[in-house]
Amino acid sequence: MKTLPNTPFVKEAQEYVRRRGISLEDLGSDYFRPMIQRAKERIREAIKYGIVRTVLEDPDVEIISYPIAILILSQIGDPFLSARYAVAEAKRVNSLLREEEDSVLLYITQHTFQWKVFKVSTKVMGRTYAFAIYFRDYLRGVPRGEIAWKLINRPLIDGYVLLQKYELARLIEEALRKRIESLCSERPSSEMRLPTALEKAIEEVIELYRPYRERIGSLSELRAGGSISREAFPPCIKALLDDLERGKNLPHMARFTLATFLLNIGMSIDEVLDLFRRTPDFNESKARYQIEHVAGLRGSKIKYLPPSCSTLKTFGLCTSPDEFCSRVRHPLAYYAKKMRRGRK
Amino acid sequence: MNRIVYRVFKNYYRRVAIDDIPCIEKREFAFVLFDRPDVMIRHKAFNSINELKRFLANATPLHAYYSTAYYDHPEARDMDEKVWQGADIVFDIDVDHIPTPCKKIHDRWKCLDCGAHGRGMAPEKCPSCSSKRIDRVSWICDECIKRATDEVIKLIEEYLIKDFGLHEKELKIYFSGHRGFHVHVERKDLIELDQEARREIVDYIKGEGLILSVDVLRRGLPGPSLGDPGWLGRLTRGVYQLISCSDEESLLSMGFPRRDIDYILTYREKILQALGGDHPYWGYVAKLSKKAWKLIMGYVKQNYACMIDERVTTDIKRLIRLPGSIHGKTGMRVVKVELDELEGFNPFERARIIKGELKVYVREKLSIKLGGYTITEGAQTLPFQIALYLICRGRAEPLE
Repeated sequence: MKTLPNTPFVKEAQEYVRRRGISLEDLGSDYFRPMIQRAKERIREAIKYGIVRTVLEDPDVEIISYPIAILILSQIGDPFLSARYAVAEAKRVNSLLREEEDSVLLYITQHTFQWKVFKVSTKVMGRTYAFAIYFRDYLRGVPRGEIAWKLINRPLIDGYVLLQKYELARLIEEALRKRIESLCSERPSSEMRLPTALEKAIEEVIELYRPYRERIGSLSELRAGGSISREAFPPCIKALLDDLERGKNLPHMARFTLATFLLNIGMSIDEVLDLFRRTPDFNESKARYQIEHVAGLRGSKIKYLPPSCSTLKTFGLCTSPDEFCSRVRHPLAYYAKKMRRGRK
Repeated sequence: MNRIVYRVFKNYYRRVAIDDIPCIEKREFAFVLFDRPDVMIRHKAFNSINELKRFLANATPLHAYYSTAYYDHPEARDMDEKVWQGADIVFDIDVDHIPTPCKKIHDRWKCLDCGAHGRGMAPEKCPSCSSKRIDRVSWICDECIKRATDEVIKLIEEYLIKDFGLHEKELKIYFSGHRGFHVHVERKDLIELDQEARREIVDYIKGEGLILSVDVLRRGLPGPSLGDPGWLGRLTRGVYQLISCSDEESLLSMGFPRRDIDYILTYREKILQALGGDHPYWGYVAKLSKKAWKLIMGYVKQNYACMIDERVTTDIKRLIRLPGSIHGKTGMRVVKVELDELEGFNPFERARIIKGELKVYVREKLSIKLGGYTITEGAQTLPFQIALYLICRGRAEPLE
């Protein structure tokens, strides 16, 4: 099957690896040197470019390097690095699947993710939909905070959501990202004795990531002085910040909200940029451009405000509003009021 | 609480048959007892319906609840120790959240802090002192119940069956014992849905976040048609209905700009014809102003969305009234209702726990019709159930 090395996460590829019966000790042998090399490469590409390349020179190397990369990451146990790798690997798969036959996508969703998906050919609003997915599986995998992905803006018939091919590929991307993240976060058992080759690879990856890791900012470090008070943040902003600090991948609207909020309460562009280094798909030049744009330094020269409470609600970003929230209609008003009260 | 109420409740719980509860051993139960009406006893668990029935017969609770959630250890006092496994999806339709015209006649509220008061639907907070401590006196009248049943039928037929593909036999409808209905979805493959997923379902049913960009339509891209699935069809039907049924006066009162009103009235036939076919043309509608478009979206939402209480559906650890138990504030029981029984539902008949009559003294003028009876001030003989309701609401005293 041509897609096996492309998609080493599928059930069949995992079974293949299992059948080979490779032990941890085996990985120390010369035979596996190119696989470890490629595993390191996968992670390096994730760190540097935010996307892993597809290399098909040796199918065996491609398939086996994938679980090795995950093994390396779970040994390192850095949630930011794991999240970044998960995003990069999932992106690779997304771009690959867009070009694949419908039947391949169908097969992967049914067998690897156990989703209820079937093929259709339905035309709604001039678009031809090729797939229908059970709404439960749609809701479990859908990217949050993007209005076009809200269930209400999707054709839903008899419990099934209609999807175009690129949309199903995106759902697979999301699901795969979560799966890799959870695989990487499994704590390795302490008795595990790693072969020297693997130990060395781990050291190299840590070394490679160090300069990136050190620049990740955190709000508590930034303004320990106290001109900005996290205590006075509304719950929605606190929640977004928590997600960001845990290295979660935030949807576009969430990033916009957070960036505009922080800029408007007086944080500098560089400070905000350093916070966003935590996003797993961080790309410095792109992020800087976007932050400068909403800060009013580029393009339209408009300094953007964060969205109002009602907009945040619509986007599903209004989480656990507190008593104070009922008195305001805008997150900045919440902050201003809380700060005033704090000074009294 | 009145002795007569306790006696009626006790008699009821001694002989009642409680419906089967799926996975009863995994649920948390909670009760409020007659002697401590302000304390909720939580973290109770039962291994069988019989065990629960024995408890009810002995304890005679004023209120009884169970969790929609399934836990490994429902009796654990700490939420983390309970270990959440999943939860039924439950929808709550309560007249408290639906503005009905009759509320102005029979509902009243009073601020406990400053004494301000008024008629109709109670405000979230006091308009004069902003306090949230508001005492509400709300009644179920025949009109309120009618409104709630309409909403339940819409929820089930339009949304749960047509859009979400659920089967009628997977849906259990319960009268809540007071002013609304609960719809429990019993489908095992949905119990693990998290809060965010449930939020999406709620937004769908409430019409939140619906977008159809007028810019897209202006660019001449294809728009939805009348027969499209879900909200696409609702949206088209809503726009069609608004344009075909409105006259100058109603459009003005909705706040449409003058220019848009003239446009709609002049080209009505042309617009409707363009929208009506299998391949509708939205170009004419797209000529309306952004303001008009916003009003149209609001109209669609108001006419097609369903007014469920979002807090109940999104809370995955919710306690909800136990089917078969009595609502302590009304003396009516939480009773299972079939879909075809909803029309003309009379709670004083279907949720009755006692037959016969009782003579009571009604303390104040209520201007309300209950189960076909007009309630007057002073002494009167009423069906026992209606009398019990008035006693539980603290508005009448038994005279026997």
